[in-house]
Amino acid sequence: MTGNTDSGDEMRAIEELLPWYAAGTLDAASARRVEEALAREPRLQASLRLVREDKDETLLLNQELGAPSGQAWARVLATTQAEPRKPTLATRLASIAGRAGAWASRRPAGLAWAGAAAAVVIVLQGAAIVSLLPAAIGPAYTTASQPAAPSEGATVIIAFAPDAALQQVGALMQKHKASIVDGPRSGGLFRVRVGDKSMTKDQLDAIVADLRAEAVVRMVLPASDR
Amino acid sequence: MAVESDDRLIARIRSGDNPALQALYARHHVKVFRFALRLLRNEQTAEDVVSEVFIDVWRNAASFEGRSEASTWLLAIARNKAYSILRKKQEEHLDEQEAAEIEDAADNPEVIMQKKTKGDLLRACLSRLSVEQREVIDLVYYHEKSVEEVALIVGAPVGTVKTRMFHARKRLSELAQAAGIDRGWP
Repeated sequence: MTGNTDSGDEMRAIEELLPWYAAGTLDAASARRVEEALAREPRLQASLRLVREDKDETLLLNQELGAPSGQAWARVLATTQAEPRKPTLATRLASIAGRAGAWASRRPAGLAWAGAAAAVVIVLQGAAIVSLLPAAIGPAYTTASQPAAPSEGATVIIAFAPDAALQQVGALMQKHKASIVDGPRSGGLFRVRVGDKSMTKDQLDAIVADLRAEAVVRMVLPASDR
Repeated sequence: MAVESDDRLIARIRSGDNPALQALYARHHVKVFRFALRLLRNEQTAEDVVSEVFIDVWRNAASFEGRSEASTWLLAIARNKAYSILRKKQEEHLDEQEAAEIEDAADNPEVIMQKKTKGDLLRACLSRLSVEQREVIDLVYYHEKSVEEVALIVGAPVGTVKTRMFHARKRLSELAQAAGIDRGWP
């Protein structure tokens, strides 16, 4: 702190940093430099007030712009369904282990437990996958409306919420006495058998309505082959 | 339940996980849309850009190296697509640099003068900035991108980004002055 006013070059340099200072995106050293200059220079304080005004109006302007229609995602889905890639077993296991690691690292014991927790979760998840995906599973990423193997029960097509955990899906299957007979297919769709025997349309509609109300279910439709 | 990071989602997308793409889309599509809309000023075209950005993510997830935030990567893709569309719309003799510097005439000074509050006036002035100035203002204030991230998105050196932001603010004050708001700066 010199008590002197800043040189023109320093003033300009600080002026240029003010927008990022107001947005809170400056690194610590630069933010400190700005704060020290602000304490010395009333002109910079006035400038910062204008920057904050600009920032507030920019936020408002953008927030008024709304969001894209559902068509935008529909186009993405249509294209990506036409270009599917089959996940490998290795990437599936890596994904599960990654989630387990993230979970374990948040525990008080920290990273020391992460490896062991991941291993345990992999074993449990592996068992769960086997129980959820019987031998009836076909090749991934075929068309979801393709007829399933003949069965006594009615089937529905389900897309789970993107953040649904395997345990939640398992609990959902148990609750509704359902089982996954095929999937994931393109678009992350699963074919799920509901009930033990053929049922009326009204009964199936009631089950569909129940499933639709579940938080882990993003979309559910009766399968077209029933 | 823990929220999965963008990096994890992109790793899953790399292995063909469509629900992961949907989760990434749900998280970022509104901001990508607004960024594109501010550049293009056409909702349908901006919506097309949103679709193309996430299709690119599906096809090129392997190219994401995780050195920047996923949102920075998405905005950079959106910018490239938007500028490509803008380029096509310009006269043949107009290059990208010139096109970016042209101010938008949607709200001319007479229209701006009819705005009632100071906020209305400032927002009208923000809309009159050139594409290049609008994008840097949006990236800094709305998308909360650091100097380095803006530089990555617009493909310019850090010094150029700072100067561009300074001139955008200066131009905004000039437009405000013309609309009757004396801000006393620069």
